[in-house]
Amino acid sequence: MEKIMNEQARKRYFGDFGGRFIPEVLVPAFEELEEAWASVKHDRKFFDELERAQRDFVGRPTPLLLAENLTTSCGGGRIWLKMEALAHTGAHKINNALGQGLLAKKMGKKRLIAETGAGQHGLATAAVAARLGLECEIFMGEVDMARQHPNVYGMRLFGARVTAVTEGSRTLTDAVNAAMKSWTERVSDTHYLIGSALGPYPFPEIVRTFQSVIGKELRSQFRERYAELAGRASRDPSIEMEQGASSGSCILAGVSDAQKSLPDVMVACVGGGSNSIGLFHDFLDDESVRLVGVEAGGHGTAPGEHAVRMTSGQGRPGVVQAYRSIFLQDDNGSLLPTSSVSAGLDYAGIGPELAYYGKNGRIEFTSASDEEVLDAVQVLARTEGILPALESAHALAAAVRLARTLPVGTDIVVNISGRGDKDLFITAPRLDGEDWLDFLKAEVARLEGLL
Amino acid sequence: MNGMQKIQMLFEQNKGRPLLMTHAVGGWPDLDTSESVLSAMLESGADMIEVQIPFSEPAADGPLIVSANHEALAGGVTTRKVLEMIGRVCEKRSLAGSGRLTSVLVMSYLNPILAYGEKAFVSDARSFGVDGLIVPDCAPDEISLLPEIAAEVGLAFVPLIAPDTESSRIEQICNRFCSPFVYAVLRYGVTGKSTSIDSLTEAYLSRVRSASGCAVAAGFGIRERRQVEALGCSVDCVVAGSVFIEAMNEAASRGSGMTDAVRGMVAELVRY
Ligand SMILES: Cc1ncc(COP(=O)(O)O)c(C=O)c1O
Repeated sequence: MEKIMNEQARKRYFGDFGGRFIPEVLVPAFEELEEAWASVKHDRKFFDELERAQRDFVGRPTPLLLAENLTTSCGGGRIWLKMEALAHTGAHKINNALGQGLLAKKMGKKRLIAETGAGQHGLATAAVAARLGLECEIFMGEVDMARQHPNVYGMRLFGARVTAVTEGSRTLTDAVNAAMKSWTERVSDTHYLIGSALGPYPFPEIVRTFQSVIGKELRSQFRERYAELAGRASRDPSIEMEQGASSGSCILAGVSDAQKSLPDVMVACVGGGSNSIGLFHDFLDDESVRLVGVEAGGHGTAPGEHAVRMTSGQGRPGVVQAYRSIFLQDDNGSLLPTSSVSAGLDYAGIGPELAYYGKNGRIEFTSASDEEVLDAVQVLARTEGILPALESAHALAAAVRLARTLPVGTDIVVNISGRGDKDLFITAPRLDGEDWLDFLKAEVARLEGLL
Repeated sequence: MNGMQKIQMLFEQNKGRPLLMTHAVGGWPDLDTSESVLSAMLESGADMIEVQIPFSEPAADGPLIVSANHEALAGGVTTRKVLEMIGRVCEKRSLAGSGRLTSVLVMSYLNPILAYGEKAFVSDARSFGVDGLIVPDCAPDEISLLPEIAAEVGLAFVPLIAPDTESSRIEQICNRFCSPFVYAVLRYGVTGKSTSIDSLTEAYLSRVRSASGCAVAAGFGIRERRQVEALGCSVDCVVAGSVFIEAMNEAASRGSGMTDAVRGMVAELVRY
């Protein structure tokens, strides 16, 4: 008996990481979910419906854009942007919310609950709930509600109830706890739509499956865009050369010689790990492709000042929030506080699949500090007219750093996982302090007159 | 006599009345108070106490117990310090030689135990006088050596059962975990809110008894004697937790002693 139990348990792991350490009250809920997931995983009809909704509701495929000005200004590898920021509700989170929403509907659930950090997952879940006619409750740390308020408003507009989480550090980690606890109170009509590739099995696999559309699209888009570039180079290479050695050579370097089917490097930010595993998953077996995950460097390297789980030396294996992975924890096994300018990366754990590929070396990890991230936001805004989310700007900052060190002709794909409109109240005071303050004062005065 | 045998004997000696197991967060509100609270519980009539190792993410607990966990941690309480405190409580009781058999169990989530080292934790717990472990997130169908390590030194590893756990699964769980009793969680949700005891509860508990083939403790939302009496005929042990933290909080806000409040609460729950 024990052997059989163990063999079944093994399937829930990525190497040493994963598993399902749930309280007994949640066992029926997870058995139901596992069964439903097994029945749709290979169901053509389900995925056909999902693809139609991805096309019409989400706006997929999201573009792959060659960042020519940014590439030129860096003077190294070519930087491409996978524009998840253009997905409906402004981030990759909708890929998973839509997939799980359809799954919940198929399971006959009437209600969705979810945690959210930056509010992007909450917003996506609320939108999907509205579209599918499901009730929705979002758990969000009090601190995050304050710093990502535009998304709180959006969720409410979509009809969701937003419940403030007041325990612990009042951020994403606590929101996950609150959502899971709320689920134990009401499982029969409710699906917990977890927002990242973490938590107890089968959540990491479900979320990764729905997010891997990012990498799958990228594979064909890259080949096509690269062929277009090659066409441009062969039609009139001299024109490009005349534009000056630096610019023309960066954009078209090495392009004419052949087709290229794979990028050389792919970069994504890592909170729980959904946009990164979604981008990377289809390329895990393509050994020539370097996969780089970027964690939140925060404002320092001491415990509590960052959310760097993989390379800070402060992350250790453990079982927290019902899965086994790498967690920032102290000697007593309690989670360390984390800090990041981006609410979406401000989390002490990491999805088990990423922990596994991080430890075995297939995925490299690095980090970007709050300062680098704020710079990266401005650089992309000015060079390409694109405003990335603070989360995504981590990937961008690391990609720019890398591009400078890599030879021209190297192709680097960065996942721009979300757009930065939600961050207005964080970026504007730092980048436009006085003017923003004047605006807010005037706005308060105007509203007080109105209300 | 190892931990399992001691708990077994405790149940056997008291056939005919339900035992009371009380819960406390180790080191809350501070180590000294906690130590006297534990002693007061045992002296005033609790048969078993369940001492929780403070942890930042107590996943099965409601707001009261969560806050107590966080406050204990903020006060510098460590796993080791809680085990040492339990050692002092047990030593004091054996020196007093009161005769009435009592038992101390540790409730902990998995991660504090993993951080301490499973083998070290089990052997230290045993040497400080702990008789059993309750680990809510050590799921019986997961990969963990902890239940086996505990069994090796005769520490009870108490299975948790939920209202919808099927009988066949109860049997499986009891085969995996060695314990003289099972802990039947009375309802969904987290610790704290009150639970109503009705005929469904009775049916559930008698199913647990026959599937597990051992003594049954029941808890979650036990707050008053009425519930204890209602459960009395269906179970061998009643567990009460949050209500003690509440009583301690109230005492603190009134400026009266926490240990007296705890004694009062034990007396209110059981009358022999
Ligand atoms: C735009 C954006 N990118 C990334 C993340 C981080 O999550 P994950 O690592 O699951 O992609 C978030 C989370 O809120 C987000 O909003």
